[in-house]
Amino acid sequence: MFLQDAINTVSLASIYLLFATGMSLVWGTTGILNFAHGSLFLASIYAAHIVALETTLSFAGAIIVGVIVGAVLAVVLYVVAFNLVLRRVRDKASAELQILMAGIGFDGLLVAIIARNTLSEPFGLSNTTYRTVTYDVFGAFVTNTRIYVVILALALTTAIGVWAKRTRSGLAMRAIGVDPEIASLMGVNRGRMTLGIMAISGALAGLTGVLLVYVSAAVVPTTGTNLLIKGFAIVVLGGVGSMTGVVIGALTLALAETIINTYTPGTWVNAVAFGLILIVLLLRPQGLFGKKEVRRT
Amino acid sequence: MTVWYESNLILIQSTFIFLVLALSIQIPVRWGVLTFGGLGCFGVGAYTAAILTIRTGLPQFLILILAVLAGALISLLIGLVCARLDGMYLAMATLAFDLIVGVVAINGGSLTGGVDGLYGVTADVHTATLAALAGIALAAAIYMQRGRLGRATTAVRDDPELGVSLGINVRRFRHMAFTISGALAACAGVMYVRVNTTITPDNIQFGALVVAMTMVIVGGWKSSLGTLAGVIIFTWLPPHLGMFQTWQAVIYSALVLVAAVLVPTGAAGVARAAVSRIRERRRRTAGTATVSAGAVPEAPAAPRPAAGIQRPPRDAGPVVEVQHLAVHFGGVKAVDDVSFTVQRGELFGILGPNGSGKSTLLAALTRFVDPVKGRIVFYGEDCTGIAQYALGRRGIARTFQTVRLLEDLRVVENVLLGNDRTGRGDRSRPSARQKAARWDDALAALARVGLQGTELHHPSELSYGQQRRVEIARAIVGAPDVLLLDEPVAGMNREERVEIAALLRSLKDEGLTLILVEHDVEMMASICDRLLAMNSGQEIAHGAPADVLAHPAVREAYLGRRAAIDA
Amino acid sequence: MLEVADLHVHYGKLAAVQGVSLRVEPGAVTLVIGVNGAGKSTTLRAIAGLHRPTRGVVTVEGKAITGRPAHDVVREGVVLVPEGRRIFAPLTVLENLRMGAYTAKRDQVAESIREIFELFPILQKRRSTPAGLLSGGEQQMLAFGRALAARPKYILLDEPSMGLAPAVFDTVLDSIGRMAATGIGIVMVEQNAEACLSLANDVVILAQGEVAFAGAAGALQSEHAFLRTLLGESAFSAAESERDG
Repeated sequence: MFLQDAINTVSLASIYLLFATGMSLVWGTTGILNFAHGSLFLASIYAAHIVALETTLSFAGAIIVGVIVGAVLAVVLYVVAFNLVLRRVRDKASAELQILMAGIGFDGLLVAIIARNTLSEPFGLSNTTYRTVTYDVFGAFVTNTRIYVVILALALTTAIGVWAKRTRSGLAMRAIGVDPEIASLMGVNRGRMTLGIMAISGALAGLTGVLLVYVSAAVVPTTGTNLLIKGFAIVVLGGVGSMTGVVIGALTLALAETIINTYTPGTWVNAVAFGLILIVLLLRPQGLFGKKEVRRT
Repeated sequence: MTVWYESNLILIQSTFIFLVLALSIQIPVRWGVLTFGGLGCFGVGAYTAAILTIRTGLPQFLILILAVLAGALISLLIGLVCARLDGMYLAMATLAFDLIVGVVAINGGSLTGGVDGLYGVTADVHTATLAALAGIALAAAIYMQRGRLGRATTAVRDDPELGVSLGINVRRFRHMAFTISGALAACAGVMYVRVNTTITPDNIQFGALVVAMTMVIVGGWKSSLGTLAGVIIFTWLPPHLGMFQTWQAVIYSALVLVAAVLVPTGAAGVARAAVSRIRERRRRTAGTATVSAGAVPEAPAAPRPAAGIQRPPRDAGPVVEVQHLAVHFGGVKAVDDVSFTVQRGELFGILGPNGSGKSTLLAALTRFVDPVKGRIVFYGEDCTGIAQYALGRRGIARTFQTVRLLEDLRVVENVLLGNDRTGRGDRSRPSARQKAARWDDALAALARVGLQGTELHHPSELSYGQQRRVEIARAIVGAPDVLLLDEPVAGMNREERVEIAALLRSLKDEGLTLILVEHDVEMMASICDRLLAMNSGQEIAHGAPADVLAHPAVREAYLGRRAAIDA
Repeated sequence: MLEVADLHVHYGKLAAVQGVSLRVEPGAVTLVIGVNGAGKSTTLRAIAGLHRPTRGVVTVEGKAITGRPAHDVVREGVVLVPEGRRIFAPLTVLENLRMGAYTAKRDQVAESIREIFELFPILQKRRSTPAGLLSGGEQQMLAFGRALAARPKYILLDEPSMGLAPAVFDTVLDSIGRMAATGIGIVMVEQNAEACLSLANDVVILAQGEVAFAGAAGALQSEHAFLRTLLGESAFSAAESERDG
């Protein structure tokens, strides 16, 4: 049974990883906790669901729909909500309240539209050419979908990690997170960079959505909000802005949930993430891998 | 009437329940505590009431009290756990708490009825009882946003650092916000169970929070009356939406989005702005003076026998004694073994270039940073380790390097804030007469700094120099013994500098002890009795202004080495 | 030539800079002095594009760059080294320098960084250290290096002496001289004025947002007159009358 648990943990962690990486990128760079990240995820699934009602989607086709819808919605969200708030706001405290409210409003808007259209029933992809294949590996079961999920998650997070570490634009992104004003003095176009990061973050949310719907067949409108809290738990656990932290955070949460699901009736599973948040914030507010702010002397 | 009442009973009851729930969100947000814990406490209250009703024969009012206590206690506990969190972190952590309550309800077995919840919690309920509860909650909320409490909570929200310096125990206010929020939310939960006779985990979903928040945000989170308006609109509107009924949740969310981005103060803010615009227009047509006229006197008012501002005599001896004070940041010695004493009625200046440690010294004096070594003694009493807010209550007032006025309050209210907790008078519930006296004191302090006629304006309507003088008025209104000023003339033009210098000098002549941190060598030399010059965290000269300015080390620190050698 | 003419900047209602004009030739140093709140930093920040001037013109080699966003101004060859250095503390020394070279052509980056290491050997030694762990003087060198990596024609220095011990500042002054010697025009804002005077070609003294004195550094030869202008009349008359009497 150990092998099966390990497979479940890794594939669940991969989903969490893709979702939380997008949150962490935006949070670490712009300081915005995007409350609508879960609704970007949900709306991407819904878009793929609508397309799949009309035509038959391939696995790649569904992913492309999800990624594009996620990215576009994220950019729209930034332009009509966050950017407007940041430009009009007087002080940091009201900025925080307004960013949070704008995120909740945008999130609620997307979720409410989807809930209304689906009557809050579970929905998935009806017409797809994709066929799930199950392999038997030393007595443990693993589907081809889960293998794809793990490969995609590993490949993308590695790519983002390398991009942030090695490339000029990745460096600029980290610099904005440290001191946006100085980064712009060095020639970084802050507005364009932020939009790019929002788009990547939204694309990751869309990708997560489509992958999750292939893994679990259907989602309900509240799936997004639950995943948002889990994403928050992962980012807080690992430390805002740390890629290694997100990986460790995702694995920790997935492992804890898998253990609870395996060895208990599983009804407590949703409390794990919430409990983790409270514990981490209490003991180590900067996260396991986050650095305490370096004090300027 | 009766027919209307009968047919709208559900809406009327809902209004009262939602009002209490919405206030449980509005009050902490109004105080700057971004907690969403209200939803969880609503669940706690509702389940407590349901379980107690089903399993015990306790009287209803006792059940209400127990449920409210449970909500308040749990909320306070959350507040203590999340003491270090702020803003979005706090919002998310409290949201996590809400969801945990939901999970616990699902897993509560026969006690909570699991996913099905508890049914048939029947008990008599009078709409009048609901109305009374909602009325008490609303009255309390309105009381808390007026007067001393209103000013204090505005400071706690907009500038906690300033609040602390004015003697406000910010931490206690935050705990109070959590407690009040929990109690109200639990009360709303009890009301809900009474009316609906059922509670299920579905009732404490995120969606319920969004509805309550829509009411608060669209109505206006800074005003409880705004929240009342929001509650009425969003309770009574949906039945009339007709074919748009199914769009209700969509419309709510869209309104939250629009309000957050475009009208962050909500309906109440819009109404307030409209009212003040009408008043402004009326004032202009009536031809009364505007801000600038009469606000700047030709010279600072002459020292006057202060009506309400009188300093009780204290024992002789130094007012402030600083002994071997050291403050380190990491490995940097920002303040390194500095000692000085300030005598009663003295104007003492601390001088030094950027990064010399004088601001850190002031921060240590006002308890914003902890010294690693040394003692700070006010009036012979060791104050090195006391709480920040306690310092303000001992007659030690301060001003800041930048303008720290609260824009939501009028000028006179900003000044009153300086007397609310740090003043000499009786600090328990003030009588009407004391209130009037405080008001007179505030007007007198404004007149003292030459700002009569600006009382009812908001700070941003004043010029920069006037704003800085409002801050001095706020600092002196409570008749402090010691006033610490952090670069009071920074950013001022020459005339304004001269005016402030004369004002400080006349305050000193009235017997106030002043400690002044400034860059402006000219002003320091002309008004200070003694100077302490600092560089690299250490004292480099100390004594009469002329001697300090002539000191080679001072010239070197300010002008570089060659100047010192040549001289 | 970098030229600023009749610059005005407001923070809301507060006029921080009121009609400041100054210029610097390639390879020259213009020193801007004045007490705190005189508008020195604001002037530099407005040139660099961090504040939008309410009036006035900034030109580089005759081309107007007034009101352009900061990320564009760098591309015109003007770089600001801000007050308090503000290096990217969690990034390594090398990453800070690469950030400075953000606008440089890709094939020039390695060359620029090699030159910077020649100018500041200490940075090469600590290339992989997080910049926040450097000493104050080293951080100032890094801030200079980061600015040089953009291959600018003009550098604006805001209070390079801030928080540095006098001995350390002497070495910082040396490196400013070396930067100017490579043909870069430097506008330097300082409180620690006398120490920088030997470096300067021109001096501008600001008081309450306005130019109180502008001219060649030689015109300030008399230390006494200089002190009077900088510190104000009464400070000195007070000090002197005490001494005389």
